[in-house]
Formats: sequence, structure tokens, C-alpha cells
Amino acid sequence: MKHRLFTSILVAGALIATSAFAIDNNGPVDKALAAGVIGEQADGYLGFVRPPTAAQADLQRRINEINIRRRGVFNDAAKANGETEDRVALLSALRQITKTPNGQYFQDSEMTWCVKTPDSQVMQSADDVVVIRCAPATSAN
Amino acid sequence: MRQILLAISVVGFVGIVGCTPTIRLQVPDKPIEINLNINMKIEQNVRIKLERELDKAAQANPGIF
Repeated sequence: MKHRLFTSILVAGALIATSAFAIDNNGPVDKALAAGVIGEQADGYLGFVRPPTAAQADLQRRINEINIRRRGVFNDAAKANGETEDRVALLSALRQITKTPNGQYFQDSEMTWCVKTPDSQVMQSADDVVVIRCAPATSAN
Repeated sequence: MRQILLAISVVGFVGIVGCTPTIRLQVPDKPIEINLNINMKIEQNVRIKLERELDKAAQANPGIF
């Protein structure tokens, strides 16, 4: 009995530790993404949907850190492939916005923030130009 | 002899001061500025190459993509 109790305490402790780690890992950034405070920009980096307040300084620092690391990745990938950092960043934006869940914010090709919906267009046109649109262009005329 | 000792201690002192780590890894408070031409073409062969690279980078850097 005592042994079983000990085991269950151990298991519970391990579970708590694991979940705490998961939350700790990137919690504030993921939370801010889910809340629509920040989103994926069309240039491959994370950004605030509205200018950050003083209370969001910590979030801003986290985003900056991620963006700096992203830039390093883009730079390395560009160098390794004889590409420009811009093109790698843009492709990354395409990938990030593609996997952005509906309801979260992203920037379209005009750098305007919009909410992802099933109508959002994140793709490459037939001539390989990257297309990031909130919704299909309305052809009224 | 005294002068030599003095010279050695001065050099040593400068050396120690010189070695004091002053590098501070600080994340800037201002966002990095990026000016990017969004309306860019990415040819399919280039895309395939870079996708592979980005997949690797995402695995190596959990939490930034």
C-alpha cells in the first residue's frame, strides 16, 4: 500500500514537472499568438498586431529574441544555398502563415494584419510569386 | 629588479583588466527592422532546397518556428 502510494506520488510529480516544462518552454509567446496579440508577419518574423504597451515589454523581448534567432537561421540557409536572406525569410513566412491556425493573426502581402480564415490564401501563383492574402481578391467588376 | 617587477605587475594588471569579460548578451528592446520586398518569386527548385534547410533549422531550434 505504502509502495503504491509512493509510486503514484512519483508519477504525479513527474506529470506535473513535464507539464510545467511544456508551459514554460514558449508559453507567453504561444499564448500571445492564440490571443491575437502577436502574429506572423509577411516578412518571416513575429510581430505585434498593435503597438506593444509598456506592460508587454517582456513579450517584446521574447519576440525579439526569436526574431534574432530566425534571422540567423535565414542567413545561414541563404549562405549555404547561394540565396538571399530575403528569399529564405519570405519562404519561411509562407510556411509559418500556412500553418497558422484559423483565428490567429498574420500579415498579408500588403503588410496588413488579418485573421486567418479558411478563405485566406497562402500560396504561390503559377509564376511562382508568393501570394499571401486575407481572403480571395473580390472581382466586383 | 624593482623596475622589472613593477613592469611585470603593470602588464599583469592591464592583462587582467583586459580579460575582464565585458561582453553582455543582451536582447535589444527595439524590434529588429526588416525591409523586405514581399512580391518575390521563389522558383520551385529553390523552394524545395530551402524547405529542406528550414525543416532542419526548425528541428534544431525548437520554439522559434
